[in-house]
Order: sequence, then structure tokens, then C-alpha cells
Amino acid sequence: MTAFKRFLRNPKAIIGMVILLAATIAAVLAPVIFPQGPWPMANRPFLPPMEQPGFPLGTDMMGRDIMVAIAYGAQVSLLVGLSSTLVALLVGILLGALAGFYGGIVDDVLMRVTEFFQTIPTFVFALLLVAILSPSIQSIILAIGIVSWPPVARLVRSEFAALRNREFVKAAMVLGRSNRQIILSEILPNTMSPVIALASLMVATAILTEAAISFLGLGDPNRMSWGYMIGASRTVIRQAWWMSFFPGVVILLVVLALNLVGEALNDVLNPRLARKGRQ
Amino acid sequence: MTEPVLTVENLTVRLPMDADRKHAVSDVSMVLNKGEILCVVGESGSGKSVTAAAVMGLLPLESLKVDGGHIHYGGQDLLTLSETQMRRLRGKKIAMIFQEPMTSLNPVMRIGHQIAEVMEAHGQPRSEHRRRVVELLSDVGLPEPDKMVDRYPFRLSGGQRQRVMIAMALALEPDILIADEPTTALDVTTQAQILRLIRDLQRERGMAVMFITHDFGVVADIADRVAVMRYGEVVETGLARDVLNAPQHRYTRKLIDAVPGFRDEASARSDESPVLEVRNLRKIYRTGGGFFQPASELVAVDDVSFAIARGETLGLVGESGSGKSTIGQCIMRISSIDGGELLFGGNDIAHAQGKELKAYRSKAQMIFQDPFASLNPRHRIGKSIMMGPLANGVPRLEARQRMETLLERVGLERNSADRFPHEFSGGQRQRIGIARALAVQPDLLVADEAVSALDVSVQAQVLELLRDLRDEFRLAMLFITHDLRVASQVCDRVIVLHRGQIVEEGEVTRVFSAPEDAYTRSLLDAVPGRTWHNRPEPESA
Amino acid sequence: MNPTLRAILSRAAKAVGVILAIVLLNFMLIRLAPGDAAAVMAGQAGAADEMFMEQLRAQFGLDRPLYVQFFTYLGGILQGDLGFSYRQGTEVSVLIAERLPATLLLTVSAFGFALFFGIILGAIAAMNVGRALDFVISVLSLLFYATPLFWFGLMSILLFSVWLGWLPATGMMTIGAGYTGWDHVVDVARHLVLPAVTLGLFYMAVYTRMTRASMLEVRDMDFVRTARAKGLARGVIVRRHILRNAILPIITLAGIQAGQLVGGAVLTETVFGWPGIGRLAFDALVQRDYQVLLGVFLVTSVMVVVFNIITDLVYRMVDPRIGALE
Repeated sequence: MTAFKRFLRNPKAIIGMVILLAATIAAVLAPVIFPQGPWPMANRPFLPPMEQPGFPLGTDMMGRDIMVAIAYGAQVSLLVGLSSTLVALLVGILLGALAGFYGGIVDDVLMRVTEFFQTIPTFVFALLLVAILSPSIQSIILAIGIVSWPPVARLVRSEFAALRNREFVKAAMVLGRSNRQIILSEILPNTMSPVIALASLMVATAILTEAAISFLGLGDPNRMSWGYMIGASRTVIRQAWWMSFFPGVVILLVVLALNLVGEALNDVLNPRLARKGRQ
Repeated sequence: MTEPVLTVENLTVRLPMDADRKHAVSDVSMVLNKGEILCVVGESGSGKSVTAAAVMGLLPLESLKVDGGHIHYGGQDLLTLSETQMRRLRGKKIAMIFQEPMTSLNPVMRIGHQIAEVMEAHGQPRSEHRRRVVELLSDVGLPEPDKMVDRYPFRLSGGQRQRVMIAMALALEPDILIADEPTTALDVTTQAQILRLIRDLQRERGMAVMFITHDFGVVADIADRVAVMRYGEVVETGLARDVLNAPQHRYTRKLIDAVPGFRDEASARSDESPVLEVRNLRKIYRTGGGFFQPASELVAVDDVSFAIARGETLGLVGESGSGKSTIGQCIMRISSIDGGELLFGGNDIAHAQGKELKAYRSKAQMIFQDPFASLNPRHRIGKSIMMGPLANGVPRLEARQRMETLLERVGLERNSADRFPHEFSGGQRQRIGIARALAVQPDLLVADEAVSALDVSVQAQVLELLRDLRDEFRLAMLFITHDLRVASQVCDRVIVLHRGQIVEEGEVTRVFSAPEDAYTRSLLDAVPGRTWHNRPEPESA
Repeated sequence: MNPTLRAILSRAAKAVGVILAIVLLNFMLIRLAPGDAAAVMAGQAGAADEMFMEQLRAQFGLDRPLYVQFFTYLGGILQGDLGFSYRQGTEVSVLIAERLPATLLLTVSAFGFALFFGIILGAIAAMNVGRALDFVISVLSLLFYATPLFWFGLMSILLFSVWLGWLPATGMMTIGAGYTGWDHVVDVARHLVLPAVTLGLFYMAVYTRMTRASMLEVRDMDFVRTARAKGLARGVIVRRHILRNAILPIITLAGIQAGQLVGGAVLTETVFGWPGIGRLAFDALVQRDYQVLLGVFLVTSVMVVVFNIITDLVYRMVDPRIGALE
């Protein structure tokens, strides 16, 4: 059975993919279904959920439809989650591959840098970056990307360092392949399984971080996001619990789905026996 | 004298559904008598270790289930005992030692405590533990036993750790000792010491020992009786000397014939000029070093010189840490060199770079030890084999032709080119590795423990292939191995290495029959089954 | 030299390096901000007039070469000068020093909670792998792992203080109650429960998952088979052989994650109105008071570095191999 088929039969993967699919559809179709956008007043303020048809999740203090806001919020979460992970993967794979392959002083220097970025309080650093670069979706993506690459670099480095001493890599050297060919065609493809599994967990973390940044009021002011919705309704939580409850549940579900997919990928791509390398 | 202490009767253990056969062992019966050493011998997958684990009640529960049979000990059937009852026997009446001494001890617990745990588990008074542990440590021949008690395992060598394991097993004077390949991971001289220790302790205490091994040399050295296993079944049992010298079953005969022995007749001297000349090679490993600590240095290869001619096989033999593999890696330029020259076709390529290095690599190739690690799992084997020629500018069509010819030459089918490494057995992968090396048409072939990971019957075939190819392509071959018997089979000349230095060098039959150096002699004396190997050749079937 | 002493010294040297790098990073961040450094220091959004800015530029030597500016900045920090908050009219160092104890109390409690319950739950799950208990623990930890902590904080306020009225919702103590002695301790403890659990829950989930995985891996190791062959009881094998080895990677991980814990404190303190430096950072964020933010970043980084040294030393005590192998 191929890895892909095994993935599709994994119950974790099924639950996760269904939720992610729903979130993706919401994000893509939001402008089609709700062309008015998330900002205009749609009903009376503080409308509780399930009270009026068409407003199953109620409205906020400005009378904005919470369901519409959640659909638009999916855009920000998915966009930030995916793009910042992409940034982190690019940086992490590049640095990790160089450190692991060349070893020695290159490794020393790059790992010191990685350790440094892992030591500093990453969330505070991300906040600082967003605050200083002024809040926008680009600065948030950049900030999250910059704080999330170290685990990738460490993982790729350790895989590279291990694979570099594997006999098939030595064989490739002896056969006269160039370093570039060895890195790209011999080693890199063999490191991808754990990286892919890690990447899906990173998207989850990035979505949580974006929500936290928006919660603190540093989100992109032009875009509706789940974290912003919770942050804005924090002060009225005693009167209107639903305003912060529903966006939180949605974050929870999406992050959970990504974690499930990540675990399923791990189960399928990195079975324990294969990782141990010996019987 | 023949009073059975342990009887295995029709033991059958089921494998998980997705395994390639139904039973790990099926219908296995054997008897272990008081005061004897029974060797259970077989190749990998023969079910010998599963049998041992079943006796101990240590089968991995999720994957292996006992399907039927009995194991009688002390008037009861071990297979019917509860976990608690079984636990009372383990360590006290039946003890066990394992293959990997490096990982068999808890790394964060003192040695003395680990041994004392056995006594604690079986209710021995605590006050006597320490005295008894020291006594045991000295019984198994460990130095400074009263200091050893408080050490952590990482300070000990593999051989010392195996002694600790033996001390632990003997702590409560068990009736039965089960030894599962206890010397396989050790160097040959250490192996000889541990075998002698087990034999002596067994005699002294009248224990029964069930000794699992794959090595007929070991069998010859210590066994009283033998059970030969294949595919989960016992094919032959009998007294050790009968089985070794007059095997009844075809499989046993085949196995014994495949065991490499020492060759008697010297090979014809090659008088061609050397392909490779190594002069004063030096390699130093540096570790650590930082703000507050000095770096430590280890001289891995110390002033080593030799030459290999076309059509000649030169053996590099030695124990682990002797520098033999390092020399191979230096020659292949996959490890940096700290001193000396490598003259190849008259040019010093010790520090060659770029074009010059590439040209060298199209003339020098290597085959590796681990058939599972030496092929890229994501490349089809055809691609792996063609990679060398392509990297050296051979046109694709010609590379493909070479690949197909070589696949057939090493005994595989042409159409296996499109398959992935995991579809092949260990022996087949090693053949693929050989084809890959030969595809660039080298003059020099370095074989680093190329048959060490293979079962003995497969080993014999691969050795044969290497010998033929060397003659066919007139290769200069550097054959690195820890196994003197294998070296004797394929090499013309041999170099014995010890701690990075050459201690002896010469024509292989001369070195192995009349060694001049004391270390060479100790290595030869340690080869298991030495006296048995010098037997007159049995008439072949 | 004594290996432990040598380890401490080399660790300290490394820590100094890290802190210097953070100072450098801070220095660069100031220059990254919109407007020049004087504007950053004065607090953005026209808090100061042009004259005042000129005065600042001269005061901080912004007309001098960059490296001179850096050493001036570094010199200030070495003397405990983290700058001046023109918004709050106080030295940043004073602001932070006032609030540091509250943050330490919160983070250390949350960390202790997370580590203790994480290891226990993980061990229970691993020992019952494949059974119902393992499933329940795994699902719970998966849920906690996916819950945004600020949202969990809000929901717990809603449940435990608004609806059930069991615990106080915000602050660190009952204002105006004037408790002393034991009563004061109980009062603070009651205020601490929700924030500490909120902050610790995510990390508890992390440690649970990690302990479970680590124990399952150690369980299959050769020395555990040796322990079984000795006839040891199951409980002894789990405690002495499996858990002791399984816990080693968790200590390492805990050290690395200390930084994230401090980050989480910003959110937790904001939600619960906890008077620590996280709350200070939030206020500074709202007002774009960069001097305070940079100060918080520096101080929390130092906290993490100190914490890393502590975990390093703990590891050294638990694993006998370390000191000797170096």
C-alpha cells in the first residue's frame, strides 16, 4: 500500500482533512456568499446566537454578523499560517542543510545563530517586530516566519548530519557527484518526510501565534481575523459570551485539524521501525 | 550425566499477519541437559533468538504469540505460568545475557546497583548486596571490583559491560544461563576471552547453558551439543563433534562448507607495477575543544605505507579502532588526510581537488558494509548504477548498456533496474553495490567490510563473485575486514593493523600460518574454532 | 579544572554571548522602527515636539557613527539603564523591576504545574498504551495543545468566576481587603490558580505527549529487557529504568521552551489583569512605547538564559554521562 493510501485510511487524517477542507471552502467562498464583507452592521448589536434566522452565531457590539466575520477570518488564518510556514521552511531548510552537510565551522556558526533564535522569547520578539514594522499582514507573516524557522533548521541539520555519513551518500561522493547534486538529489529527498510532518504542525502554531498577535490588537487593521474578534470582545465577555466563544472554537478546530494531519503524516511517513534504521 | 533441566517440546510461535511466513518457530523441540552447553545455531531469521526469548517469557507480546507446545522446567510448564510466577524464576533460576553489551545496561544507574537489583528482586538481604557484588565482579575478571561497583556503564568497554551482564546473570547461581549471541558485537580477542569465561564459569558451577550463535567457529569452541535451525525449524541436533565433522542434514553441510577456513596454498605473486602507493599516511581525529577545555587528539592512522598492484587483493585486518576503515576512507578521499602521500598512477592525489579529484574517482571505487544503507532508498537501482558513468560524462545510452551488462554479470536480471532497493535481499543489494562501483570501470576497488553484514552462505557467494570480478577486470583490490578467515579466503597479501600502525605485513598464508608479531598471533589465537578450521577438508558431497 | 565548574563557566560565557547578541538585536530593532531612533525613544505619535527630539538626538549621540552609538547603548545597559519611558514618565528599569516578581510567580507556578502533571499524565498514558485511559489522555492533550491560551483564559473566567463564582477573575490580590500574613498568601494563591493553569495547560499537553512518546521509545530498549530478565517487578522497571531515562529529553525540551512560556505570560497577564511585565508589555504595545517593549524583551531574554543554565545544571545532575564525556 502506498503512503498516500495509508494516509487516506488514517482516521486522524480523515477528521483533520474534513475540518481543513471546510475552513478552506469558507475562506475561498466568503466573498461570494457574503459579498457585503465582514464590517457593515447587519442586525442589532449584541444579538445572541440562534435568536434570529440567518444569524446562527449572533452579532457583535456593532451589530456585525459573527458568522460572516468567522468566514473572512479563515482567510487571514490560512494565509498567515501557510505563508509564514513557507518562509520558515525556506530559511530553516537552507541553514539546516548547509550546517548538516558541511559540518565544522559552518555548522558551529549556523547552530549558534539557531540556538540564539530559539533562546529568545519568540512571541515577545514577534510582537516587537510587528509593532516596529507596523501591523500588516506582511509584517505578521514575516515576524512569525522569522521566529519559527529554528526547529526546521535543527531537524534538517540532524537529518543531514546523519545521512551525510550514510553509505549511499559516500558512494555518491566516490562516484564523482558534485556537492550540489548530493545535497539536492541524494540527501534532501530523504529528509522530506519528517519535514513535511513538522510543517503541518508549524502551520498550526503559526495560526495560534497570528491569533494571539491579533488578540493583542496588533492584527492587520484592514482584515477581519479570529484573534481580533476575541480581543475586541474581551471587555464585554460578561454580557456577550458568544462573541469570543465561537471564534475560539474555530481556532481550536483548525489547529486541532492541522495537528491531526501532522500526526497522521508522521504515522505514515515515519513509521518507528523505519526511523530506527535497524531491526 | 544426561539429566534434562529444560525441555522444549513442539514449540510453535506465530508471526504477525503481515510477515513473510506464518511462524517464527514451528514445532521446535530440544533438550538442555544439566551441566552442558547447548549451542543453537542458525542464520538470521532461523528462529533461534525467538526460541530463547520464549523460554525466558520475554517474547514481545504485541507481535509474537505462542501457538502451542511446552517448555518443561522443574516439573512445570513455563508456558502456563503467570507473569508473577515467571518473574520469580527469571534472574533466579534462569538468567539471560544479550547481544549488545553497549545498550544492555541502564546508562544512568551505577553498575553495582544494577547487579544488586537481581538480589533485591528475589529477596536477598540488603546487607549482603555490596559484598556479593564485589565478589561477582571479581569472579568475572573485572579489574578493581570495589571501584567498579560505583561506576556508570559508559566508562566501560563493550567486553567489560558483557562481563557485568554475566556477573548479573550469575548473581543468584541460576540453573540455566541463556546467552543470545553474547559475543557477536565484540572484537575477536574480547570474544575469545568472554567465551573462555562462560565456559569456565559453566564448568565451575555446573550450569546448563543455552548458547545462541550464528558462528560455527564459536560452536566448535564451546558446544557440547548442537541444534541447527533454519526457517523456524530444527533441522539437526547432536553432539557437537558429530554435527561439526559429519553433518547429516544437507543444510547443515551447506552451512559448514560455507564457513570460511584458512587457505593453505599461497597465491601467485603479482609482479605488475603498483596501481596505488600509500606513503606515510596519517590521520588525526580531533574532538571537543572550547573556551575552557583543551581539544583531545586521537591518532587514527599513524605513518602507514603500502602498495597495491593490478590483479592483486591486499587485505587490511585489525580490530575496531585499528584504523583500517579510516585508511579506506582516506584513500577514497571521503575523509581528510593529515599527512602522507597517495600516489595513483604516479600522481599524488592526497590533496587533489576539482578536475583532478574527479579524474581519480573515475578510476577508484568503493563497496560498503551495510547493504541496507549503501543504496539510496529513493532511487531505482538502475539509476544508482548509472549515476557514476553519467557523472563522469559517459553518454546515457552507453551508461545504460554498462548497467544492464553489469546487472547480469553480478547475477541479477536486467529488468530489475526499475526496482527500488527495498525489494532486494541483503546479498542482492551487495551485488548491486558491486555493480555500481564497477560501472565506472575502476582500476582500484576498496571493499570495506563488504561481506560482514551477510549470512555465511550469502557471504561465500559474494566473496566468490568478488574474486572472479577481480580477475576478470584485473582490479587492484583493497579488502578491509575484521574477519581473518574471510581475509585468508580472498587476499593475496595482508596487513595487520593495531592502533593505527602496521604491525605485520606479508603473503597471506605465511602471515596466518607463521605470524611474526605477538599481536598477530593473539588475533589468530582468538579466531573462534581455530582448531576445527585446520581440520582435513571433509569430502564434499 | 573541576568538570562541573568548567561547565558552569563555559555556560556562563555562552550566556554572556547570547545577552550581548540580544542587546545588539535590540539596538538594530530601534533603527528598524519608522522614524529615527529619537522618535522611537520618545514614544511615537507625536508625544514630543521637534525641539525635544533634537535634544534627544544630541543626548544619545545619534549624529555619531553607528558603532559608537552601540557602545554608548551597551554601556548604559551594563549600568542598568534600560532607557526612559516618556509615556509613563519613569525609568524603564524601575517599571520592570516593580513587576518582575509577579511574572516570576506566574511563570514558575505555570511551569511547575505543566511539568508535574505533564510527566504524570504522559507516564500513565504510556503505561496503558492502546487502552481507554491512554486514549482519553491523548485526546485531552491534543485538545489542550490546540487551544489558544488567551481564549482558554477568557472561557475559564466566564465559567469559574462569572458563572460559578469559585475563583477571582482578575488581578493578583483582592484590592482594599488589606489581608496580611497567611490570609494574604491564600488570597494571592486563589488569584493565581486560573492564570497559572491557563498558561501551563498548553505546556502540560506538550510534556504529556513528549513523556508518552519518550517512555514508549525507552520501553523497547535493550536495558529494559535486561531489567525484565532480572525478574524485577513491573513498577520497579517503570520507575527506575524507563521513567528515569525517558525524562532526560524532557528536561532539555523544558529548557528550550522556557522562552515560549515567558511569551505566553504576555497573553495570560493581559487576560487576567495580572500586574507583571507581560501586562506592562501589552500596555506599551498599545501605546507604541518601544523603550518599554525593548526593555521587556531584554529582561525576558535574560530570564530565559538564566533558566536555561538552571535546566542545564539539573540535567547534569540527572545524567551521569554528561560531565565525564566532555
